[in-house]
Amino acid sequence: MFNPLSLQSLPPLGVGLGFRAPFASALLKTETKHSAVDFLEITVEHYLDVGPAKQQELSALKERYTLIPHGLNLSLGSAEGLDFDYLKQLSSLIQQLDPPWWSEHVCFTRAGGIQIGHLSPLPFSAEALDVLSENIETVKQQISTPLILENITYMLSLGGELKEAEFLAELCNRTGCGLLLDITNLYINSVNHAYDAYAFLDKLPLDQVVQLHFVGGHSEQGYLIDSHSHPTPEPIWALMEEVLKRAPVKGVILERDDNLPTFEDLVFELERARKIGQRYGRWP
Amino acid sequence: MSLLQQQQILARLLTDVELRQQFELNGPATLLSLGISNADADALLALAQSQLKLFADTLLQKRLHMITKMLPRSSQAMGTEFKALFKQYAQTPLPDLAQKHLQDALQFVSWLQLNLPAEQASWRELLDYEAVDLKTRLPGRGLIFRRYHFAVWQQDIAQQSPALCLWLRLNPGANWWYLRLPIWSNLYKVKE
Repeated sequence: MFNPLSLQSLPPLGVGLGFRAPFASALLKTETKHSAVDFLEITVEHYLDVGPAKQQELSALKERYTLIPHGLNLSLGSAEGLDFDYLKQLSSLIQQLDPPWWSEHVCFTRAGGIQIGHLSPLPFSAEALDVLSENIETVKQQISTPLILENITYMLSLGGELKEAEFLAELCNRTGCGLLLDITNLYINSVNHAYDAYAFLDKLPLDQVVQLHFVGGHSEQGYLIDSHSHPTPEPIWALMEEVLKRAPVKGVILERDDNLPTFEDLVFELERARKIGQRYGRWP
Repeated sequence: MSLLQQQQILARLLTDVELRQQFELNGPATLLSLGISNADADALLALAQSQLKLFADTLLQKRLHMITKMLPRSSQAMGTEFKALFKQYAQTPLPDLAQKHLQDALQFVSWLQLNLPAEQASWRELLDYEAVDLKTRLPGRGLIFRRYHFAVWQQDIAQQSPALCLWLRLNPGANWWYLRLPIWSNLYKVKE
């Protein structure tokens, strides 16, 4: 069951960036961290089973920044259970980085020996809750660092007895995990599936929101796609304002992957997020 | 239908183009052929075909995008042919390994080496050159030796410039050494 004190005691990290190789020169230019970037999120899979160059990069980043590991491939929602070799590698990386928390997605990525290659949705059902809870319990036995869970976008609606927000709330309650609320994913789902993002927020356990993701996507065949490829649009900034006003968020991450702008453009977005958080006393 | 069964079927529908086309044409018969009873098939048949196709297409686009990033010069040199051949290759499953996109790119290169026409020798060599570069990102020691006929290290790969290339890492914790020896000129070290 959820213990609010354990999440409240996590340190405020501020404003950060999802690390991608093209940002390395700007982020590692000096002996200390970049003044606009308080912390970094690293993609776990980029540092598993790699050569010395990536390990050196990780060490250089760790010397300057707090690093939050962000997993893509644990497949917490897999009904067939977890890949224990992968879990062992993940555990070792998290131990090496010693972060205040780490994150994964509410999804499945493999089934029946097939690697799907992307975050695939679960039904919002009691059975899916059971599977997630059991897998997360297994993970917690291997990794004691607090785990926070991210909401994904979904094009396929697989049904279930619960609504998405109720499902996430029950999952957090059962597992004690915090939420990594991706406000871009929330916005995209609200548009693609025609619901009110603010009403969705009302049903979430906002006291368990630890971190946010934000970025812009693109539109294709009448759907919004979370391609992490564009500047953050105004409706997502408005959602950020609302969440930072109401939730004890410890950090926000700009998650840009494609169509990369100049680093100065990223800094501009980070500074805007910083000011919003400061307005609500989330970080200095 | 159990969640386990639903996930196994979805994984196949999302990654197997031919199966998805069969499902679009005749969902109940396709599911029956996969051992799903009529009673259990309802949940899958209720999936909007357009959403399923769009999601599967998105997965394919993402896979192509990652491979293009891994093989930037080959994809540029091959132009539209790269994408067309990827669509044929994409029936091959994504490797279930930690560096899955890198391994996917290596697997795609191997597939192309078997399927490219013989007259595309410069493409073959450029693909091989970029594949070796990807292999050097993986852990472990190694010695890789190649003979190229085209200047795959230059922008203009069509230029004939025979050379021997050698990649060497004796210590798994050290960086790779790379030597290029032009066959008709003096030996020189290019970079560490």
